[in-house]
Amino acid sequence: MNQKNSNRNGRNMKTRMFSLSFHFPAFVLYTVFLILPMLTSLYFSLLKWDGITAARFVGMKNFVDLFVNDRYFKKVLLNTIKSMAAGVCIQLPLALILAYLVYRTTRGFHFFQSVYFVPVVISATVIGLMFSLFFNPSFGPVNAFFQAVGLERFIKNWLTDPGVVLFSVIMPGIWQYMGYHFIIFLAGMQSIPKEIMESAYIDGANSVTAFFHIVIPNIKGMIQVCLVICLTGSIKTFDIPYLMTQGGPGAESTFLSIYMYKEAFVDSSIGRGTAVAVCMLILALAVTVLVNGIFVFLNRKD
Amino acid sequence: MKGRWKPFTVLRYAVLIVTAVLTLYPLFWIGICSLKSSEEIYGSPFGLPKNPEWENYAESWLAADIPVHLLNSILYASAALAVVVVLSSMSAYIIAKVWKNKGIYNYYSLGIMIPINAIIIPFILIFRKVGILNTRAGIILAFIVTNLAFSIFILVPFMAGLPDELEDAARIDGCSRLMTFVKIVLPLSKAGLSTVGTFVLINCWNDLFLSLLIVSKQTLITLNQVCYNMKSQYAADYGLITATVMIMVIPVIICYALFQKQIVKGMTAGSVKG
Repeated sequence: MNQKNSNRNGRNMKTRMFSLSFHFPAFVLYTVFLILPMLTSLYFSLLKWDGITAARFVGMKNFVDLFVNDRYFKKVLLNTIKSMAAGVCIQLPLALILAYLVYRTTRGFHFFQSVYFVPVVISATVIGLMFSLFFNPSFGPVNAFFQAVGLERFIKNWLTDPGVVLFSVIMPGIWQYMGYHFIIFLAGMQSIPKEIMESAYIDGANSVTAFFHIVIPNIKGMIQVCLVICLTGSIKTFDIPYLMTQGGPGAESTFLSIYMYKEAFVDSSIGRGTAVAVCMLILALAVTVLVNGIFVFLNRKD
Repeated sequence: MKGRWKPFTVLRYAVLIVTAVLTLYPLFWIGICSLKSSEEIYGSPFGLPKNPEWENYAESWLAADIPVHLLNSILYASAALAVVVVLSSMSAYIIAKVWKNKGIYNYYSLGIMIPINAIIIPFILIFRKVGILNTRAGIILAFIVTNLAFSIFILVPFMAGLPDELEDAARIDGCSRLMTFVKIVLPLSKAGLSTVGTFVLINCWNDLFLSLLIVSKQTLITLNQVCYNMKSQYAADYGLITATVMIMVIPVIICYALFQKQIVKGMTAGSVKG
């Protein structure tokens, strides 16, 4: 009896050692390189520090500076919010409509499905370079198009004119990732049982009413996911605008990511840069919690 | 019924086709430009190239040192892929089958909510302290740790869904935990692993942010960094720039054409799971 127990204990011990060591590498890497930086970010944002000389604790000063004294921060925050709004108000509705149109199509279904996803697989860097040529004032197709159709007043310096540069750097992202949301919505629509759709049409629903009364409620989960991805994606957007304009002119096309990058790695103000980063972190978490909260509320009402 | 739908059908196809054109046209335009000289690009931005300048490709291949950077990109992405798949499947196995612990799973879920950009400063300072800035090991490590959490997040539910019976049977037959993992769990998780693998590969391949901060030595930089440098380096030689863009786009499009299902699945993995 005793023998058996100690055997089992030995075996449990072995299992435990095995589990720990098997799980250990991923756990350590994750903790050291992601969780630790997150916690130290909170601390760094309270310092005045150039990364080399001694750091000085300044409390909330970096944040106060950003929101009160900084020339650019409010602009940068507003740009980021505009980019989020463009995603939610333009990209997602277009993707949703497109998905429904393809869903209702039999001929060419696979063709359209494949084509709309093409930009998603290309790296954002390449897309950025591509669109900086596309918007080129002297030979870019955008200006050439307006010239050709006689709409000269739309001919602009797309990448240097403060009035339109924000549009120029947001648009490529919308163009690129629309196919991503499209695919998710389409997958959602395809998982709606055929009988539900058919009985709706038999009951006299047309395409539009079926869309609002059957399709939308049935893909709520997908809409929730796309909202979170779209909003957090806008918060961390970097590659495309940085490549196209480096945030300029002034801070006209700067987003939080770019501003953080410049503060921390160009101007060497680690404290201020991390304060911007902490704002990003809070914004991303707040948006996620908010969207999920709204959907919990919506689902409760059913 | 058919008669009623006709105008709608026409309209629907019109919208779908116009969107398809808008999706492909920028790529098509770059393709055309890549076969023109700079003068021709300026002269007729829309026209087809009169006598295609294939030299643009040869020139870009050599001038931008494409082979070196292509190899870098492939090396970083595949090394990260290998390590992430091994480590995350080991971890996920323990969480899903041995501990069955929700708490530790949530700990990893936290990682996918944190945008890497928001923690990049201490991240880079750690790299500097360890002395792996501007090394291959550094960029590969960065790719590994930024993809770990997500891979575990996907693999745990996948492995938890595998039946316990097979594993129990193997263990009664005297298989050790390690052997059950290698012989039973891994082969059964093939679908999950390939989704995670595709996801990691695409993520690393497309990265600019991390590589911009970690490697700057000319011999270490990735294709995306070349693309980034292009703009200032060859400011006016647009034939060359567009040829480089095409060199980067064509292999990706070919892979997409060949492995479309797998790629779409890998890229949308988190969202479909919900």
